[in-house]
Amino acid sequence: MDQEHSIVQQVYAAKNDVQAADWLIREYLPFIKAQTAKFLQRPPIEGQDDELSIAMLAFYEAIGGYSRLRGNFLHYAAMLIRHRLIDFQRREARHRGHISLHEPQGEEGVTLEDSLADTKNHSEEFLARRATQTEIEDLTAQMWQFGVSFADVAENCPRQQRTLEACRKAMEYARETPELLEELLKTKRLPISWLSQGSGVDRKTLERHRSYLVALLLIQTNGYEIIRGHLAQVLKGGVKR
Amino acid sequence: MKYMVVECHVGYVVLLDERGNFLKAANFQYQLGQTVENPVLMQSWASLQKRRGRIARLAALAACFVFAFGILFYQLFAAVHSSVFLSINPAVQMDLNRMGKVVRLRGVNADGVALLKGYDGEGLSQLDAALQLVDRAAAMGFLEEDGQVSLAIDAPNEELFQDYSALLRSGIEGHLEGQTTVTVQVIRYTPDWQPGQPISSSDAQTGSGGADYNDTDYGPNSDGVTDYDTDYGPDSDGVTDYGDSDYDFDDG
Repeated sequence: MDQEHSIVQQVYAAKNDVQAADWLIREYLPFIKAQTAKFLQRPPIEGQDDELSIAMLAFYEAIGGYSRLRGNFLHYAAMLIRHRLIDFQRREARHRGHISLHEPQGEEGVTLEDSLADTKNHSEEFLARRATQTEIEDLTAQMWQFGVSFADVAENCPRQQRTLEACRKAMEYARETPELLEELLKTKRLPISWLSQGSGVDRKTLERHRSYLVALLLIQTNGYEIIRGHLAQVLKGGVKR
Repeated sequence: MKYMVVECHVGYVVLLDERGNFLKAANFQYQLGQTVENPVLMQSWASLQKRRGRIARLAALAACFVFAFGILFYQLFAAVHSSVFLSINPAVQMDLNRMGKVVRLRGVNADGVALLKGYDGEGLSQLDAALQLVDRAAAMGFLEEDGQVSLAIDAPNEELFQDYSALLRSGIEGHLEGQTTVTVQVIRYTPDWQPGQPISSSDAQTGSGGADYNDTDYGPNSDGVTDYDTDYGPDSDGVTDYGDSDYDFDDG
């Protein structure tokens, strides 16, 4: 009973704290692996079995979706993990019959990928990836000054098309008003009134999606060309999973 | 759609798509800055809750419709809207819905209970049930030559009373024509109604050759002959009857 109470407290703490959520997932990784093993009917191999990644995501979902009314947290998490694994299996079943690039071919076990001509410039790709990482790290640090993380932004991101259009309208106005962006960088606060009056977007909408607007407006400022480029078009040299 | 990995966590990553959406997805050993396609996106609990909320609202709306429909159905088909107390000697209460269909039958006296034994008239129209009960009464020896069938109608308005009155009386008379001579009397039900009680001539609407004490120029009792009073028309006696009048004089 005490253990159950303790888990529930930890889950509720993790709902609003990214680091607490990460900690909880690490703590219960053996549980997550056990649930995955039950589904696969064999122990999952970390770094190889996608199912383990799906199960971890499902556990994270369970943290967010849990309430005391749902009863025992681990039972709820186990149920969600199983559902997500089934969904993933169905999704992957659609690709059955396709040849994998990594599948060994012939007696020598040479993969199809190995036999294909390699036209990529790996060093260029490495440099591009490194530049992107640096930009993202800089943006992350700058967002922290506003008390915002990417995880917060993902939670705060508008879901309805109508709201997304309204936020884009606000960003369009901000892009055309450099003084507004300067004000943002100087005060470390989003000038909602100015943005609302200038763009014609309802103030409440802007307040509701403050974190999202902070991230997108910061991207509009200097130093984030790569990320801006991604938003406008496909980033060249990107690696497909 | 391409997604840029902007944040990595133990159980998930945050991706930025080309349209400016930030999304959480499964972490398939992604690296920061990597561009991916076909990620497994998290069904965010916000959207899940919204969906649940939407489903709950739809369910509530559906429940309201079912409830409203249930009430309407009950009002139309199950609720008692009027009653006909059929009294031969056996007395039976027929409760009717708005459509005039029988929803319940009850024996008012011992003979009425006996009359209804083994009989199921629920769902029949008031006339069909009344005719079947009259036939049963005749078969069981309750209705004899020169007998009487009394109907006390408990209706919520005058129009319904008149409709049922005309329907039942003409229906029963027509059904028994050539078989037996029976008087059909129809009265308005009152709480002090008792089966078999004498019905005054002023209260009754009768047929089958009996005296019609409610001769009128209008309605179901119209005999087709206009009754003129003595002040006007061909029967005028030349003496004006002052006093009780249908008209009010306005001296002003």
